[in-house]
Amino acid sequence: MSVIGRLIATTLLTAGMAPVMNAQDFAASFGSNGSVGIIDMPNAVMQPDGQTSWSFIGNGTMGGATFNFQLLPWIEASTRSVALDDWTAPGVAFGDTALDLKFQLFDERDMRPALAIGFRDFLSNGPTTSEYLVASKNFGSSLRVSAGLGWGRLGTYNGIGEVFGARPAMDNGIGFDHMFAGDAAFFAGVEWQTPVENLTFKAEYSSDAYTGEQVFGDFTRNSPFNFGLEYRLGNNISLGGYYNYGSEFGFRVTVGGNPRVPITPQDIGVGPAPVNARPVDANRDTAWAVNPAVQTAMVEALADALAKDGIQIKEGRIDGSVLELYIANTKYSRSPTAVGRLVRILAGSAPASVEIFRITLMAGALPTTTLEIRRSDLEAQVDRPDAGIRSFETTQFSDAPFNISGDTVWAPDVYPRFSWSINPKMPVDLFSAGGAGQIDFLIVGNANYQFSRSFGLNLAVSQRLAGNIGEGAGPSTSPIPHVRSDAGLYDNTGPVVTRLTADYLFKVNPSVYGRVSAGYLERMFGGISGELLWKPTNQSWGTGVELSYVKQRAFDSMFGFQAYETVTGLASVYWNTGFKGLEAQVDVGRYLAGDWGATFSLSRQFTNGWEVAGFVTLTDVSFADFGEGNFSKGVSLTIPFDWTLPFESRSSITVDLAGYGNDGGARLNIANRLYPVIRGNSVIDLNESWGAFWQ
Amino acid sequence: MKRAIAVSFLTVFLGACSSGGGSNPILSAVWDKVKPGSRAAAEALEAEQAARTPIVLTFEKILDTGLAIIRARVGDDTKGVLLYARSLNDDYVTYASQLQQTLTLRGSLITASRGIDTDLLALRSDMDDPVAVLTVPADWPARITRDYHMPGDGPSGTVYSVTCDLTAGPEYELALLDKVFDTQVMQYRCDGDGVSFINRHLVDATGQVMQSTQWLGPRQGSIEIDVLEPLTIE
Repeated sequence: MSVIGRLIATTLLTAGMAPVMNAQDFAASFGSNGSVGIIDMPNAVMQPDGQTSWSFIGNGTMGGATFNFQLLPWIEASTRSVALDDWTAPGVAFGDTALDLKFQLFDERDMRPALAIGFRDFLSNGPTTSEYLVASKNFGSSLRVSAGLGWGRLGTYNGIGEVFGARPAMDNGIGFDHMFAGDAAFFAGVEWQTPVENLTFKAEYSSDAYTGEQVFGDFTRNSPFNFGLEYRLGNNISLGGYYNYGSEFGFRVTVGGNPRVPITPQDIGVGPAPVNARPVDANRDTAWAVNPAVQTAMVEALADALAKDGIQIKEGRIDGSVLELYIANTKYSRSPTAVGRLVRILAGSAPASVEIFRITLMAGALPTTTLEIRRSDLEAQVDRPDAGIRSFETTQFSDAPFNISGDTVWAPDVYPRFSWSINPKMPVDLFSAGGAGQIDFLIVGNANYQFSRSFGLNLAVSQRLAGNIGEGAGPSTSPIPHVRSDAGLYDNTGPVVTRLTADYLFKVNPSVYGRVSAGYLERMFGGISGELLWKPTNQSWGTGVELSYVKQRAFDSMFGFQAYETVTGLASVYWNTGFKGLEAQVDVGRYLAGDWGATFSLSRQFTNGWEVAGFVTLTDVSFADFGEGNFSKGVSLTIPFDWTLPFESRSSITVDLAGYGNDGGARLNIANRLYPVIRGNSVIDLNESWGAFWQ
Repeated sequence: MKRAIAVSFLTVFLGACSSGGGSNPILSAVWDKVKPGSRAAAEALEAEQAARTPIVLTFEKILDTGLAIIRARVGDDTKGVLLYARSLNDDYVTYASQLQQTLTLRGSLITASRGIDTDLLALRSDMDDPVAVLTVPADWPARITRDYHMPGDGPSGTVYSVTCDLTAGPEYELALLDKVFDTQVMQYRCDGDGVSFINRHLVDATGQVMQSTQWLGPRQGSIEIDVLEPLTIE
């Protein structure tokens, strides 16, 4: 069965409804390192697209955590952070952070096994680096056999020789020349779905000699055979227990989820308003539009009615044939839903002469994309099977000016306005504590005093409720300016002002966005920052520049400064690939410590708001000066609340899994960078979620 | 560990509150249940509803309304919910409940659902689909194709294309409201794109589907509808 087939089967089980199902294959399971595999050995199996998991792993030789993500149906990615016990000396662990990638070359069909090629600790030549080619084949619905050939660490036991030449010595550097070099060795394993529901037995023959672990520690590898059991609790939790090397026990605990498989029923609630076509003989006279008072009164009445449905009108104008609205969607997780419901209401309430609805989506203060929808198209398309594709084809998209032009523009009289919010935040330091990671639980209070749509004051205060990020951190010995490595010295016992800024947001023209921020920009730096972004909505890519002059804030005071000051700036290119929600970003420039370099980011956003993102930053700071981890990197996971709740909500929670306290490649944490604010409203983004237009 | 769990709960419950009415949805739902007076009000409403004389629905009463009406049941629900025709676009009729949950039908074929678990965005079927077009049982085609559009990426969502094979079943006396109808069981078994399901229809001699169990998608399963008063366009 295909990946999609497995996903559907999983979905049916989740929903607790099984009309008539096809036989389902043996589901993917995790190895002892938190990636899909047998135990220590990999297999060629993929999880359902988008599947995301977080595993805690440990055995006699190492402990740590793995963040695993099915990046595409044929690509599995894992970020693994482990402490290798007794690696550099007796009692001295080595913190190893690694990116593992596995590519399925082809899936299983009939007699053909699935085949995958994989890289552990991709690009790096470190202690866990290895490459492999592996095939997996299911026999019936309860037995899977895998066999493969490994290089690097996976080629250290019973090797068959150097197929592609000698392997360079381990150096922790970045490169390609070590790949598939050195001894190769065979490995194999079986997975058996036992008669006990959700219990899988595993056994493997390992090609890993565990040479490094036996140099300084008392660990002894007695056998190449490993054995394990995996038990799944529902769809989102699995437990693994192992007896490895003939000498050690190990465990794994995995918590996971899939963006496409919400844990509650979706779309329960109030459906959209029905739409009936205007009668042929409807009065389409426009005489009513001559009176400006009537025009503004109509928009104002509309604003009151729509506010109840989570749609705020920021500006509006109506004339005899056109109704223009700038809207803020505060309720629906997908913008097309908000627009679709809005135009349905307009179709049932606007005078018959109004033929064009021009709806502009706001992102905070900034108008982004204008959608022009003909009422007659809406009336003709509604409820028809091809309405989704037809409505996208007939909608015209354009960049919105900052204000609606013309007379009799109505805007709510709300400024100056005060607003506030309280949000949870859980930063995770993935690469600390020898791979075990550290976490904080924070409550962040935000207050905003908005003088106008463009200009406002923003305050953010953070209070740590619990956590341990920074604990055990000694004085920084970084040879470059301590822009982040002194993080542990910053007072975090009481409320902390993490932001106090005056912010001005504007548009230079319909395609160019601007921002100026001044004040305490983040916990460690204050100053002034300016940014311009060119991003036409019909274009898949955009570019921007950001320039900031900042001073380092004091450790023990909320408002003082230290001596360090710098100019930092980045030029950025953003590209929405239009393929499965993948977006790429490259930032090039001068970082906080004065180092020059580039950041490469890749994210995948699902139409329901789930997002998994990762980045690496390489600068002219050497790996030695950078310290543990060699270079800056991290991943983040955003989960929308409505994935877990049976009703619409735009709230979400983001967990950042990043390295903290490294000076190289550090950049300012600015709360309202332009691209993250406006992204999601481009034509490509709207296309991806347009199925929700009629929901 | 206990502290971490306590903090996690605290974070969830305190989290995501705002001045804009964007209160924590979890907290709001819990508060609605436990706030002073809510329990008493709910009990009073239940008592009032229990005291009411139940209205016995008959075909005569339905005709009196002058509306096209269907009744829908999901899961273990035995009473069902009435939905009234609210909009028309060619032969696509949208029926809505009092809570604005909607079903769109072409003939008796459900082509869209809204607000009832995961939405069925749209259903494309053959032009001569006998559930959509009045067809006497003897003329029901042996095989038809359908495309189910579920929420997913792109304007068309995720499409499940299925082929459905007919099995004509026995005759069946259908008791519906205050009448009994002579019907025949007509069943389509549909397979494709990793899904498999059965739609059952009770059809009278004219081809009118009187009662029907139809698949809405892989997450929501099936829904049962009674066509109490079909829409007639004069």
